[in-house]
Amino acid sequence: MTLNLFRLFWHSALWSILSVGGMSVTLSDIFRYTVDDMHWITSAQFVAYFAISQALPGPNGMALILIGQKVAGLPGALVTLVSKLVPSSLMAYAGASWYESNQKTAYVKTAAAGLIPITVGLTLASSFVLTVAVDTKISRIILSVITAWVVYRYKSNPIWLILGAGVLGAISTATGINIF
Amino acid sequence: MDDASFTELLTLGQFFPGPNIANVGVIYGRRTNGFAGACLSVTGLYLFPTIITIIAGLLIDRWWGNAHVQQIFGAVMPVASGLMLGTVSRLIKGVPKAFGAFLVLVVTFILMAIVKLPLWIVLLICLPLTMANSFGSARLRRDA
Repeated sequence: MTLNLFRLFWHSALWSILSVGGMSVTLSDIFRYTVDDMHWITSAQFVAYFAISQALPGPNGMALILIGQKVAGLPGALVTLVSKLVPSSLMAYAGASWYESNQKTAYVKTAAAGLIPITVGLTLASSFVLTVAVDTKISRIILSVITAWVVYRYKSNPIWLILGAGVLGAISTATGINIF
Repeated sequence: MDDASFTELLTLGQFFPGPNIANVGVIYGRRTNGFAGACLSVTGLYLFPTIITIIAGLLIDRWWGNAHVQQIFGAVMPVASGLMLGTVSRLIKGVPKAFGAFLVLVVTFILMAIVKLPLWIVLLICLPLTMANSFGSARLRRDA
């Protein structure tokens, strides 16, 4: 229990510092550690936690708190939350005034542009890991592709898409066709 | 605050690691009320979402084995992964159309998703790579 709390603390703090461009870049690393290495949760649970955090109001990246809770209950959730927030917040606090006075310089602009390919490559890896974990049936693949197209084409609110999926799943189980 | 200064704040939040929204909260809170402002704004942003998330986690763990719940999540999960795929497709459109940038993107993806190296090792390899590329091509543009 205490060992797991320490692991949650250490890795959440690491992900906090390493998440260049936002928390979604860390998803595949979180998957690697919590599902493949530690076997804390199954890959289906991982995607379910991610889906819940997308559907709920509030900041991105709350899936990690659900994992913390699964591993070590309420203390796990709180340790994960604090260690995911504090390191990056301290960096933003300490670096904000430096960045504000230097953001127009060529040096900072070039560095920020250099981060883009890494952010996108890591987000692509996160997307790949989620897809491999969840799209195991034709019906699921179709749903993923349609959703991706809708998001790409129109900037839509994820909450409505997830609620719509919930209704589809409810119809599938109520009618007994169970296609998902 | 107007739209333009909010966009600037958001760019600032994205420059630093961590949740963008928390960084925006830190920077805005710091500007208006210093350290206390930064702490309070992050607490305010996370308090209720955390309570809701913890309750949702308890509910899902309680009902996870249920066949109906499994069917509902069977539809919800592919939509969640599709959301990520759609978002990343939009992001790829925004990457500078240059060979070097795409090479870094592909190498990062392969090391992370296929080789499955830990993130800190991937960054240790790819950050110098992308900075060399970014500063190198900036220098080429300046010399030209």
